[in-house]
Amino acid sequence: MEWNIKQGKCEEIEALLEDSLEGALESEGARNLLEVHLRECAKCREALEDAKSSRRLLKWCESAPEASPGFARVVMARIWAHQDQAGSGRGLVQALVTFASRLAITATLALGALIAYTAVAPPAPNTEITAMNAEGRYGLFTDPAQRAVTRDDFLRMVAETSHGQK
Amino acid sequence: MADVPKDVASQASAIQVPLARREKAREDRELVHQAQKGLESAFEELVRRHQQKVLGLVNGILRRREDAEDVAQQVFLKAYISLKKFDQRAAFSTWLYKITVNECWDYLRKKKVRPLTYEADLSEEQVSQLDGPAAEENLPQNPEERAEVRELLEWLLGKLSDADRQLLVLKEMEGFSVQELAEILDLNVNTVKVRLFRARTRLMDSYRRRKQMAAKRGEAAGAG
Repeated sequence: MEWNIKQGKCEEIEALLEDSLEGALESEGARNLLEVHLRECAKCREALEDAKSSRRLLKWCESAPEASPGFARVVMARIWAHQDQAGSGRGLVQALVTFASRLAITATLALGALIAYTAVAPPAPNTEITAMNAEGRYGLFTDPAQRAVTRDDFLRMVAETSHGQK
Repeated sequence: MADVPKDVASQASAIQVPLARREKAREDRELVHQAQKGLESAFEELVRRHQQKVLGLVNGILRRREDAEDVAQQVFLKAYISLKKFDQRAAFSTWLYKITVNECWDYLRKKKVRPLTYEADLSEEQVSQLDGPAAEENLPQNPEERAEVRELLEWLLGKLSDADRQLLVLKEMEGFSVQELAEILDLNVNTVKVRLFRARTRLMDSYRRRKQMAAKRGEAAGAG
């Protein structure tokens, strides 16, 4: 890239200052631009000196400690624990889904059976007899006048129903 | 063996570094591919290859050594969970470091703390001890003095903004390149350079201000 020396304002030069600090000024044009700018700009010269000093200061700081020897094993153990947890969670959900689907199938079958039964069932019986049967008072006999009072009456009426009425 | 001219040697090493990185990236790609197929030992190898960088990144952002390893392990767990979705368009390291940065910010949000906080101000004696490091290249031999100087530097770093401190720590202490920082932080390379340079000068401003204050206090105490 060709650098235009006239464009060498302080803001535009900062990236080059960082490059020069790192020894990463590659192009001849960039080096010339920086040189010319620094010759004329006391502020940038001072900033460059500050940056160099702070770089020296930071070398005194400690970097991160070494990872513990079992770091990778601990990570794998955490992964396996996570998988177990996720697996048991999935198992519970799976069981619920199975139960729900079986319940739905049973309900569908029951409903189907009910519909089929309704479709082929005989017509409803005489409502009067049904009502009386429900009350449980008359049993086989539809006429209240024929109601048995004694045990003998009852046996006689049964005999008449079975034989006499035929 | 014939002497190799200095320029040529430095150019050769400059070429070797990207080559080594490319080779490492290629090996990573293969390991990721195997891990995506379910080979756990491949993922374990990826952990081994990147654990120090991830730990450095976490430490650089949080500045809390007691929590750094736990957060770094959490980063790898998250990476494992998301690995199947990783399409390898970016380098594995870049993808992993981005997860690391996000995990650190999540951690800080949950804990509701600044990455580094110093309640107490520096004493004049402490500030005067910083005269040495800026001028000299070597650390004091005495472990106690060394620890003290490091503590003072941490204090100075704590006075910077989070963004400035992270850039400086990651670049100078944890060895991330400008290119890596640009990728991890989603910034333009030039922006990283400019921010780094400004952060360096701000660190020195803070150092100088503190020194001046200490000197004034010293003068006032002498006059009194």
